[in-house]
Amino acid sequence: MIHLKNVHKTYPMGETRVQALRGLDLTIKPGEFVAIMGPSGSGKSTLMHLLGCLDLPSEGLVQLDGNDVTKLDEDRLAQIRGKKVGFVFQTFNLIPTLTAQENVELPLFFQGVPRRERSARAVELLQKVGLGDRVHHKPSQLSGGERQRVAIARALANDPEIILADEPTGNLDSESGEVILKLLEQLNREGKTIILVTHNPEAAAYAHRIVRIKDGRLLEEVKTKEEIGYALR
Amino acid sequence: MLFDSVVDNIRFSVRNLRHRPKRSWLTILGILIGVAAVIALVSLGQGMQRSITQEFEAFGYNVVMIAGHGEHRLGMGALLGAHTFRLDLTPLKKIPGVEAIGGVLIKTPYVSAGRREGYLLTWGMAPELMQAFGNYYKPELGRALKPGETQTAVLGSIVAKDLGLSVGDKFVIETLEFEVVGILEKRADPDVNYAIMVPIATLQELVGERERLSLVLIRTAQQHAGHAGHDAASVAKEVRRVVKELRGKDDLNVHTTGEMLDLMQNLVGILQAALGGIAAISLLVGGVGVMNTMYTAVLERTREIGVMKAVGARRRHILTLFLLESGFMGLVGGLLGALVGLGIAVGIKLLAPIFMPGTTLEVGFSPGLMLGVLGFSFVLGALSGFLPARAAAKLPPVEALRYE
Repeated sequence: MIHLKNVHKTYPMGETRVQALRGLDLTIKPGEFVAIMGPSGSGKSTLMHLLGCLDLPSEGLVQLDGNDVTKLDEDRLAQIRGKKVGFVFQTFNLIPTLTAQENVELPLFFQGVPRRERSARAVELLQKVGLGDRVHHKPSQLSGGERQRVAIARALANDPEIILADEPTGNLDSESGEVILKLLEQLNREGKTIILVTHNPEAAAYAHRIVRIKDGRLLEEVKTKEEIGYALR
Repeated sequence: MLFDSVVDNIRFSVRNLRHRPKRSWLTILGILIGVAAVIALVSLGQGMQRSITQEFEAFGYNVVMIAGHGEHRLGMGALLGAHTFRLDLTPLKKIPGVEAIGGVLIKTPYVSAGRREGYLLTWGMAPELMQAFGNYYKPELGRALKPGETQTAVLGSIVAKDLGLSVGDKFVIETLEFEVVGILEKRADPDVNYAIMVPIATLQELVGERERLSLVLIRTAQQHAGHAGHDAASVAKEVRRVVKELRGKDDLNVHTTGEMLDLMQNLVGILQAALGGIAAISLLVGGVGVMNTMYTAVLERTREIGVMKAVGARRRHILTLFLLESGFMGLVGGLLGALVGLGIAVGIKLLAPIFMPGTTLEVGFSPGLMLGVLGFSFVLGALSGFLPARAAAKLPPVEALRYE
């Protein structure tokens, strides 16, 4: 469960300060599939960073499973990210020098999981995303869709409660994009909380709830499948 | 589990280094050159110290030498005899602690052996003296000079080869014929290797320097436990006093081999420190190269660092990764540099006799030095990489991820 209350975030940009978030409230319950939508500059990336404990708010409360994370130091945040959150990025962000398996092992490595266990888990996850035969490939030897599936396997490595996907289909053709979205849907059915940041209505349609933000504030929330269909028209 | 993580860290670091092989190798080259320079100089310096010490050990630390002023050239037999003097050795023999004493006259008379001829370094030496210094003037073939002989000669190893003479052969100095009775072991001092040694009285007569000397060698009694012996320094003091009294003026140098050893070792030490300092600067430059490479690597992999932080890497993980990378470059540079440095030292040792005939150089190889250098170069690499690695570890994840 993630709970944001009256969250503000300003950061310096050149000579001025940008107000990315201006008093935002948001609660995401365990097992939800939430899409966050908004035009560029709306603050959705900043929101994603806060949800994933990559950054802290300038003001306001961020609670993860009832604990305030705003008082934690960087290393403690890193630990939380490693255990509770899995990231999927638009540009995949795989380490080019490592194989698919090693990329998936990386989060486990930082948690101090022994090698044997790590490698078994990585292979298992790659099989789950349909890349059992690409284990020893480097990212450069994989297609965009395959890379994103490796990234999803990496996000799942430490069995986190939350998967944060930031425009995961943004760099993919629609066919590969669909595979990724179906995978996220499947993970949600298996109990993961999915937070999908996107401006693509087709992608957002997979969610059970859409949160629209604009100028750093909540614009509207749409909750049911029917409403989503209506809202996206 | 800890070992597990160390091995993985190392593998990851090596992978990153191999990802940019040219840059990594060039950086390693910087360290390599510095380490090679240090190792070559230190090995040669140590070898030099060692061979000087060995020479003095063979000659004896308990030796007092008297030489004319202006005969300051270093080297045991380096007194080419420009300055000769008269000195009655009888009063000196009575000084307590004097065990053996004898004069040496060093000249360059005309020597011919068949078709080979020239003005060659010739030592007139009391046969008794030669036997007293039998450890140093040690015949490898044949024997030393014997008391009572007049026309026998013992040759230094190189001059014997140059003249094509062996034991039993005859050759001519000025007008007299000499028989080779022995050939000396090779020594580090070229003046010995090039010396023709004949009975002093014969040489004095031959060159018209009757009773004149270039050098006096005095062997003092060794110190024995429980027996008040005479150390060379106190004998030298007494010799100095007697010589001054005999000549009425202080125009001869009296010094001990111990003093000469100290002097030479000081000189070698200064030389070594100066050259070593220059070599150390190049090592420092190598370190700067590592730092430069690591800063570039951090900049290039900023996004990668952001990703690693996003998936749970803590500061120490990033720090360790980059430190290992730079440490590795140091270690490899150190290892290869040590080998190249030793190679250079051995090369100089082999080439030295070609450019400076008669000299022999030793190469001091010490495993301790090698291990020290390897450890040092790893630490140098890691230290040079510390600031870049810390900069990487401190990157805020969001900024690192946003980096293009």
